[in-house]
Amino acid sequence: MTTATQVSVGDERTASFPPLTRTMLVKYAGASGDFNPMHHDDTIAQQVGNPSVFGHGMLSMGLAARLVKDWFGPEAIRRLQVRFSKQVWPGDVLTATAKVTGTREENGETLVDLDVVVTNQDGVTAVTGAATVVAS
Amino acid sequence: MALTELKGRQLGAQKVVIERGPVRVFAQALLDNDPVYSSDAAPAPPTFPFVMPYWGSMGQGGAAGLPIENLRGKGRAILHGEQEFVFHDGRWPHVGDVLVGDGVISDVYEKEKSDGGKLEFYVTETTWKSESTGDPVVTTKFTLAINCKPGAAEPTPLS
Repeated sequence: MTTATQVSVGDERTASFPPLTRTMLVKYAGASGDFNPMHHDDTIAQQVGNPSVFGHGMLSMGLAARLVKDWFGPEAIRRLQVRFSKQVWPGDVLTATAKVTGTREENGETLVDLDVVVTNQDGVTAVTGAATVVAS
Repeated sequence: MALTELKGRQLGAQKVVIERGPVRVFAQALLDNDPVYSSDAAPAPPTFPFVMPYWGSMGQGGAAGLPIENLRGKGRAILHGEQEFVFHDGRWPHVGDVLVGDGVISDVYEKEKSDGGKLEFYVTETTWKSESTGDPVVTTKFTLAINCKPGAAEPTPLS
């Protein structure tokens, strides 16, 4: 786990993930109960104008959350908020980045504020947001 | 016009028992093989609360939600716009916990777009409390966005 004295503003971590596959989307569908066919049925996805199925926004958010969890611990997050800005597609290589924007003391705890972003292989932002974690 | 009359609608209570298998499978779907998610009292992965209505409704009666059929229509693209989780007072959901979630449609609004279309937003908040202590554990805030092209259909009025 990370202690407060170990982080300062500007500290950053990234995590890269293997290329997105349809199998990953199907696994996420089964684990989450989100059976919207846009995420597993190319025929239906194409009928409404998509080139193929696309990833669940919550899969991308989950990867970003995983980076924060690997950094600060599995129960450290106090708040995590994102906006979904672009779809992600099979073959995309996603990278999650978290960057410390501030630290503060509150009720005897040290809280760390982070910017969180998920980008694809072209540097296009798919998910952008912020997190607050407690540093123990 | 967005269905602003939905604002304030209570969605009722639902119960979830956080089970060991679903937690591990959910972590693995996020490519996370951390052994912490295989323990008897594993913490839930941070975004697991989003899927608790799915696991909670299994065999427990359905989870109420937005009247999605009213929101569909020509020229209306339904998107997951934003998502937020707030974990309360250092508590965290774990395998074995029984949580009761109360949902409310907390906000409905719309924004004009420069192309003459608009965006409608429907925000649902669910606060999950420990069944045994009543303490709030986690609040999820889900924002559904509908990207309406110029001339798109209006939502179907509530009956």
